[in-house]
Amino acid sequence: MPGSTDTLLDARDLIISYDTDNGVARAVNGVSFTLRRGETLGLVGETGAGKTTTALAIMGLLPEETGRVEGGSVLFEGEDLLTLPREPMRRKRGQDISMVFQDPMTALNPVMNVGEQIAEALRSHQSISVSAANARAGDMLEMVGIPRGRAVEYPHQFSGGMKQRVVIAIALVCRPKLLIADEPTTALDVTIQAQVLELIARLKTEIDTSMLLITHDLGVVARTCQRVAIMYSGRVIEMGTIEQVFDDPLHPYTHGLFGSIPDITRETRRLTPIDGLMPDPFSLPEGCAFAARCRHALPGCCKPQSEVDLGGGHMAACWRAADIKARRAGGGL
Amino acid sequence: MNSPNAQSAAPALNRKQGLWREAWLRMRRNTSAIVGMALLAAIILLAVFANVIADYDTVAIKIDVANRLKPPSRSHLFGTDELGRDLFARIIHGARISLSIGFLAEMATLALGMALGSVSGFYGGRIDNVVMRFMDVFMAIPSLLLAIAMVTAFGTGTPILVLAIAVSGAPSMSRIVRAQVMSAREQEYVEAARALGAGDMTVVLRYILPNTMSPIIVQASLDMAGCILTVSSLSYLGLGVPPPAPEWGAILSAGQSYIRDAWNITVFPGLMIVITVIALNMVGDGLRDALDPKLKR
Amino acid sequence: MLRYVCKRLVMLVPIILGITFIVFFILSLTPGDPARMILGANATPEQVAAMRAQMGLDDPVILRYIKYIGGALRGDFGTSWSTRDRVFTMVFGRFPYTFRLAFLSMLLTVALSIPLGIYSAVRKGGFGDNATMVLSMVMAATPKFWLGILMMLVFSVWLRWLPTSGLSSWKNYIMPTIAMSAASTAINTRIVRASVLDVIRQDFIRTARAKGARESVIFRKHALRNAMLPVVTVLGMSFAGSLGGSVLIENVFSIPGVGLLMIERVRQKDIPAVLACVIFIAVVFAVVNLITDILYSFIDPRIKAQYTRRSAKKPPKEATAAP
Repeated sequence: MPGSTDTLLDARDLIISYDTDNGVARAVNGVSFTLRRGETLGLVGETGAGKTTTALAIMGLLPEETGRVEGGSVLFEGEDLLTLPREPMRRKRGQDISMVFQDPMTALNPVMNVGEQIAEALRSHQSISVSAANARAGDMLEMVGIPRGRAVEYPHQFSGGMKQRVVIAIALVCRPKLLIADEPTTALDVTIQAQVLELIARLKTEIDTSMLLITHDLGVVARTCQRVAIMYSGRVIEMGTIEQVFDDPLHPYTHGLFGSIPDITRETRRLTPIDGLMPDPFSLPEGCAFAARCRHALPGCCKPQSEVDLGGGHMAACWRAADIKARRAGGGL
Repeated sequence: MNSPNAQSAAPALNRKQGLWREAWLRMRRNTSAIVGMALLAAIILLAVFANVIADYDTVAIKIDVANRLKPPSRSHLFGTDELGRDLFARIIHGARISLSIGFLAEMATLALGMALGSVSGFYGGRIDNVVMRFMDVFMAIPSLLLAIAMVTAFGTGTPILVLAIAVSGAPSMSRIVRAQVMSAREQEYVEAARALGAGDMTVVLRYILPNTMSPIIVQASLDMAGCILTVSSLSYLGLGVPPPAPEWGAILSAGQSYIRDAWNITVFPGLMIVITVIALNMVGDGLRDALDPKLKR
Repeated sequence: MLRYVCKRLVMLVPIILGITFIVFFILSLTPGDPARMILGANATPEQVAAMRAQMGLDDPVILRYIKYIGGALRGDFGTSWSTRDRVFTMVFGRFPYTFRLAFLSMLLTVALSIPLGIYSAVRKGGFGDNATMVLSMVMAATPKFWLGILMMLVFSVWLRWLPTSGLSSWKNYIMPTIAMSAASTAINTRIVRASVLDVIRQDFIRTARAKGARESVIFRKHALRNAMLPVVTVLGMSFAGSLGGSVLIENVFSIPGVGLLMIERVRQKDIPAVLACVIFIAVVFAVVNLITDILYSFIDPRIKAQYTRRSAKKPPKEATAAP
């Protein structure tokens, strides 16, 4: 599969660590996934699972002083982004790959009007006159549902949802091939979340881009994504189409994740949370990171886990996945 | 550890000790804080044993015209001043004056600032408004000028000096205390104390202030450097400690007239001021980093 | 914008009234009888009593204060007790020297502290940064007047390059300006450095990187533009600080400004003159702070919004979610 023509982004065994006062924290520990052209891939996991770190590594925006890529590759159209020199990488950012950040309140420069901030993205990549860039920025504002007259206003004059629209406009104004949306609605009011999400989904089709949607909201994934990758403790532990993963979760963690969502169609007495916490990124276990919390754990789980292909592109990083699948088919679970 | 009371009190006590212990451990790793403490300790020792090293009446203020304006030598480490007094003796006795006035002034600033700030922060509303507007006005007067005005009105001397510095320093201290008290007031342990029927005084003195001490201590140690600068400035202007007391600023002021004949009278006292202020700043910065690691850049 | 300026100007009035009252009140507590002081020891009690009545000394403080302010509004700050000159002309004649010195030292502070602070931040942890930080620590701890005397010793007495005192040529301004601005340059360098370091960690810098802006553009247009906001305040603070410090520096270099006048008159217990000097400097101080605030609001669109739209005092913190 890697290298096939419709693959846009191919992350392989990505390892990233941060230097902190308390030692080296391994935030990403062998992440692998692929994203096809035109597709929306959901990257799901709890806080601290390494989703944002993965995204920043793809963008080449890991904090320079503390963040370090220790291994792996990120192929974008067959080119490894991690080994790309600064300047070519800068030209990719905003032009080919864009990112929408989690907190729109702080993502915009407070002393620059929003039109200028959108136009800057264009002018960083194209030789375009100031007036033409401003005109395109105005168009882009209208595309995200803000009257173009507001281009001269400053971020503090916009609400949180509006600011996020501006951030989206900045990200999409160059029509990138890949959009990384890092929990784009988490910081917004619940009432606005759906609007912004819908906007992102609509623009994605309009400008024909692919999207990596980072979220911890499985409902959002079900609505917007074609495929999903579940992350746990710095690894993708299960990946497949929405149907495969949602209907037939094979990794015990994924299974537990669905167990902790209240189902409104059924009357549930109580939620079944997964006991325990994610392992400490300062000292990860050698084997399966989830083993300590897993109801199905066996002594074999202490060994490093490799991904198991369960057919049709459905992968799970659990050596017992096939076993679980068989048992479930037989009605054992 | 038999009574339930003792058991519940023990963890709290340990936590408190733990906080200071941790702060001390952090401080010990901070080179500049250690250098600052060492310098400060040396100056304090000189001040404490000033009379042992050189007697005040017979050396520090004894006029000896035959020996005036001597350069530094073995018998007079820093040389002598315009009246033949040993400069080294005068400077170590000056450390006594600067440190004690600086300390007293800072204590007075603290007392005033804490009283105003905690009343203002605790009661809020109209009282807060009135006190803070009043403080705004005080802060709008350059502190040296305010001190000069007070000295003009009430005359020179240590108590006036302490008062003048405290009055000009209290407004900014009261703001810090107020901000601390305001945030502590909302904490649950304060509400709990109130629910148990503690009075305002008890709540402020026993629950709020003790929990807001670290930023206040940090500010106080940094302020004290400012106090020492103000004392020497006023003395330089002839408005501080009256002669023949060997205040550093006063020595400098006298030395300026003899600048063509003797460099030592102006150089050494100034150096002492700089060293003392740097030492206090280093300790203050170290305390800040140790007590509140979040503030560290 | 005009509304904002007006509002701030109106807010200045109670501050100035407060300042004048506090200083007036403190100085009114001065012991001794000014009437006797003016008339001399040989005056009869009747003469003294008449003088007291003429000067209004038997009125309560509040009444005297109101009279004083009434006079001050017409430019009448009373007459000196020691020379019988009009205080207003006396202080006003001295003001240009003080102002010139404060202005020059503000310029020097800005010219040095901004580039040094930026340099330090960019080279954080390097030799240049460490050297700058150590130097600024020493300078911040050095009393202005001592630095002045020290420079006098080196450049006037030993090297004979510069004149010690007087104001005959531009050379006379070199040492006072440096002595006056050294401490504020040191402090402001630290503020600029901290501000730059703070801004380059902000999320919007990451957004700018994410859109592929060039590093030079990010630094100039995003980092510096935001980091310079506190610098405006710094500018005002350094000017205001120079006004307070003028008392010391004018004494060191015998510059006949307001500060030197004040100290001369303090020694003579010439209360009206001292009062006018303190009020004069404090009012200029307050006005400079006001101008700084207004300048700031021109640069930072957020401040203006705080005053023009009362409803939106601060952008609502919808979430401070962790990454």
